[in-house]
Amino acid sequence: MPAPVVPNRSKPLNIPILESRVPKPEELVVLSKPLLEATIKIGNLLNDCSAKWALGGDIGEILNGVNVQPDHIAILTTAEGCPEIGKKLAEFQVEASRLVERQIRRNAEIGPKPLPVKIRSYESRFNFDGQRLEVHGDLRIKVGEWDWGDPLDFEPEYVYVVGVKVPVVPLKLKTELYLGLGWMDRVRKINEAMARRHHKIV
Amino acid sequence: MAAAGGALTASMVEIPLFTGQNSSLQSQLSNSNSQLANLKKQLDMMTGLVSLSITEQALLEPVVETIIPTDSTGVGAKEAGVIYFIDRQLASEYGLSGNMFMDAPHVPPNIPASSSNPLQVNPSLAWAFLKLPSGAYSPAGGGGSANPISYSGGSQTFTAGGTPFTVNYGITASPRVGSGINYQYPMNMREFWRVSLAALQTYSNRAYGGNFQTLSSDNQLQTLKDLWTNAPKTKTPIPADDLTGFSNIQPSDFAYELTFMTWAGFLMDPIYGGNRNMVGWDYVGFNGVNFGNAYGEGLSQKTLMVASSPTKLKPASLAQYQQQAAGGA
Amino acid sequence: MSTVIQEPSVDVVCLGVGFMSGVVATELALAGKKVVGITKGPYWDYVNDYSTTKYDEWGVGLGRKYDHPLPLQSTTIRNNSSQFALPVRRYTMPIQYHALGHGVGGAAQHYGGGMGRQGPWGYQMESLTATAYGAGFLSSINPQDDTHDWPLTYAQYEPYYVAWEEAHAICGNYNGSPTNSPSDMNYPWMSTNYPLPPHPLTPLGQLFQSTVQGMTAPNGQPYHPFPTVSALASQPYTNRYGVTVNPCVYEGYCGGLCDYACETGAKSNAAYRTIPAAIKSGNFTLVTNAYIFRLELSTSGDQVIAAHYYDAHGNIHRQPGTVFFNGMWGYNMIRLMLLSGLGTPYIYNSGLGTGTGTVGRGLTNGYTPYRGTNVTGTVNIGGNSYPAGNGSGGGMAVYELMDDNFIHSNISPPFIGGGLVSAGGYLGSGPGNITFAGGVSGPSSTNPNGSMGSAFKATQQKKYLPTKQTVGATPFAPDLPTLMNYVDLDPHYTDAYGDPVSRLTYDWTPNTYNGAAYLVNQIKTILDQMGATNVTVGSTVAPYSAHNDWWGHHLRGGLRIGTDPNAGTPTAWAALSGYNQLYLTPTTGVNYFAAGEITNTTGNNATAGTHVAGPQSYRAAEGIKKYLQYVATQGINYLAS
Repeated sequence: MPAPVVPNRSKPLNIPILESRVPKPEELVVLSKPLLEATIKIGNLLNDCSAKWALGGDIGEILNGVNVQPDHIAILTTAEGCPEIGKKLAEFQVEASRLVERQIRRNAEIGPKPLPVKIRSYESRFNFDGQRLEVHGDLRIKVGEWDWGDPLDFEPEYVYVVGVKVPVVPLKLKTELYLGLGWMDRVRKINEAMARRHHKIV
Repeated sequence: MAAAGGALTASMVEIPLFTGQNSSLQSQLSNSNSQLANLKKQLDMMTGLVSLSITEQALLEPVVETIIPTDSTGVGAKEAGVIYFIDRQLASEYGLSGNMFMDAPHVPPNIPASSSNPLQVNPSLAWAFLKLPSGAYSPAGGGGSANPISYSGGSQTFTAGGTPFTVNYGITASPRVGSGINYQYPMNMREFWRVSLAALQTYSNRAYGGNFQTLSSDNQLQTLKDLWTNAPKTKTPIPADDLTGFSNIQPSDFAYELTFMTWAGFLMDPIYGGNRNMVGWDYVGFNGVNFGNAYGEGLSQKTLMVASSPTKLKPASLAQYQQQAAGGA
Repeated sequence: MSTVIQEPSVDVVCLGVGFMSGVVATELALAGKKVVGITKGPYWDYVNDYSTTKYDEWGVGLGRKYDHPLPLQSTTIRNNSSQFALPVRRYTMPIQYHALGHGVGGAAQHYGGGMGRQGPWGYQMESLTATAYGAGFLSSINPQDDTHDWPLTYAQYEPYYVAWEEAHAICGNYNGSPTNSPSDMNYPWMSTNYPLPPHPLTPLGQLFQSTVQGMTAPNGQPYHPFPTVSALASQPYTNRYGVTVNPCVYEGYCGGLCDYACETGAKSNAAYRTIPAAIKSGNFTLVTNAYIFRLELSTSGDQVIAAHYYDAHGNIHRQPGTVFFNGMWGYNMIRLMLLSGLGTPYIYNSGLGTGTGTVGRGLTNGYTPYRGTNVTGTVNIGGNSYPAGNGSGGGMAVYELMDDNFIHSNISPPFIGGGLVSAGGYLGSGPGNITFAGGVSGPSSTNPNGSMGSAFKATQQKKYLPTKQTVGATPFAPDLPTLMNYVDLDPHYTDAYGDPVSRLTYDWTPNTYNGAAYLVNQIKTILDQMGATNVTVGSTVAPYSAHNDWWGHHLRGGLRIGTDPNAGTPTAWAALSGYNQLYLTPTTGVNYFAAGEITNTTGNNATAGTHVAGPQSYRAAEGIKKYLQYVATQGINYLAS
């Protein structure tokens, strides 16, 4: 079959060419497959949990469209929630629930000098096919020399992950926390996600 | 807070002055007065025409008022600034037919064809080169060559459903007015309007004895109705090469275009020059870009969409929305 | 003058980047294959490109500023092969003249967002009709009938429906099957429910639901209403590729006969569902503002070895690949095949009433005849008919008047299949100003001054604030494939580059009208039961009297899937078009039933946005993976021939 005869016409100038910018991979909010599958599994296993629980951390944000890259799954729950969750996820448990206090990597950036941030919670760990799950019961935060805050309390909001409805920590609470820590970059990321969602429409 | 804007009438500029002692109130009022005066100047600057000629304007103003009159129910096309909408469109891409397919051949949909009077049309050059060695693609009557293709119309008889019925075909598909295949003229929209407006005036004189703007309102309405029934062609025909007439244009095609653009000028966003001060939207109860809180009403779409009785929202324009979006959080 | 740029060869070349290519590109890129997607428009960014400018009926609805520029490529249409096909010269209202999409997402840039599976009966329409009503029934009701079964059954396609729904965030709650059993041929049963719950119901939708629940359908069973299926996300969602989806904000510039792009990404579109995952994988290259004009074939003539396209500067690019997936809009896809000499062109001989060949054959439609047999009534439920809501939610539907859910023997005039009947969609699914303006008319017996003068003006006052609604439908039964309706190349008109445009030869088949005559009476019964007043059945439309003159945004077909599911050629696995869900978009102050039907239309590669095409794109992806494996193990290199 000979090559088709191709008319040699240059592009007509009166056809509008619209500016086209293909997004870069880092601009796209896409959850990795292993974490996605682990989240679905966890959501199914915990869907009849009587204690309050919600996905927090970066995973809780990305499920709402915030451009972050979680590397593990975090759950916030009450002190009572820990043993219940521990039982439902028993076969995946790596460390049983125990009271843990530790400093997190990033400092608070609210004053002239950075302040250390500590968290304290009933912490348990699980492994889902290589994906790490951390469960925090009654999570409390201490910034610098200030007192420990009260255990984080909130009403979960719900998102769907494929067919599963899962509770997440409300973005409003995360925004308040980030403001308190001075992490304005995280506040901005949430704002950008919400701007994409609402577009000034009240 | 909504940005101030919209059409100003003389009555809006007159503000009763307080004679009270409050100097801050007085200075606020004087600020408002000068703001209003500035806005009126701004509007006056926009109230001009860039495409319609003086004679076209003199004709078109009463035409659009006949289509959408000022009456007891509310304002009409004149106050809504419909001719400014039409004028701006004719001056821009719409008038140049920029987003239209304008290639020849041009075959108006109202030409009948039959086996005794077939339509002969030459194929495009591309057709000649498309004869492929793997099996020339050949449509009925030609293909792969430069020979003219003949379309004879005709009829077809079907017996599906048990009852035989015969369908007679003309040269084209349905000439439903407003369909995308109805405009087949070789001129752009600006020319279409130029020729048609002049022809309308010619018809007004021949049929009713004067320019459209001098006719009684009954005759004005009748003139426009006559366009729809193609009366200029059937009742007062003039030679086709008389360029003061409709020539090869179907008057009903222009009737559609005229009526369509008049209603568009009444109901499109004010940013295009019509629907001044959103009077058209106010009339039909449309919200524009007010989704329930443009003026602080605190209403939500989720409630409005499942209501069983209506809630009128004061309309907001696209420009207002953009100003709020820029100024908001 | 133009240079030819050689692009590096890849595993998969996707022609067009709409819904179908979105699936194929993503599935293959995530499987580690190198994929190129080529589209003639831009990559739309819904925040930057139109979040502040889309609330513009004139610019969107008529200017089609976010859409395909008509001078680039138009199409011609005619009803019958004896006619001269006229070109579509401009966009007008209503919507049907902007079928082709533009840019990533394609036609999903401008659809209303309705979805819904084709039921099992639709996949075996020919054989089931022969069994139930006799071997000669179809040809007696459909002139030059060309109806055939699909090569796979609904049960075999069902898992692909699930994948499609999970990827695109489809909302609903089953499809009304009382048993949800795989043995039920008359409902689209589901192995798993839609991944998102439906949108909130309107008062009219609730009335319809409660009314039909107490009624008996023609099959002797109660009606089982179910929410209209929507491709607009009802909740925040993460899909099977990890792509996050925003929920609908219900601001209503959605459907409404303009059909707007979605500024939050809630309305399903490859640009915000599949393509982001493909880009993130690093295996996908997107080429925008690139106009494909030829496929280069192997010397054997049955394999595609390269796609040729013009870039924005007028250069010609040659993109070779191992596999080519055509995800272009239906008849644009056919056109490209015909221009390239791929496959056997369909040629119709009107004198003999015969048709030979395949490429271009079998065009059917899925929309209401513009003036047809209808039924309407008035209910005393008002609402907000200005934009509030979305284009596909809020209503309820019933499946009992579809497919072979009732006995068609002894119905006169005869027909097969039925219509999807629904009510209660959001009144304000899109502004109706321009569509109204496009519907202006001249003097008639009922309207002496047409759309002019005070009396007519008064009818428009407060039309967006109705205190009652007109409810009804112009239903129709499936539009059946016939030899007479097809796509070919127009001999007289070309695109901007000098290549012939597509020519659509199409008119409604009698099955559509004949079905309407029966269905309106069923709908009338429902309206009476709902307490509607002034229930009026319009006059029956005679077949072929209300010609179709639409560019055909719901036209589908032109290339049939292969009949042997085990055949080694790609056609057995190729994606396929063929879904007909129609709805009458509400005009202001009015709410209609949606009436639709399923047809047997087949085609190789899909029209965007159709739910039936969705599973085909997953079949295509699977088939492409198998084919790539086959080629690798056999060491075949078509590029060498």
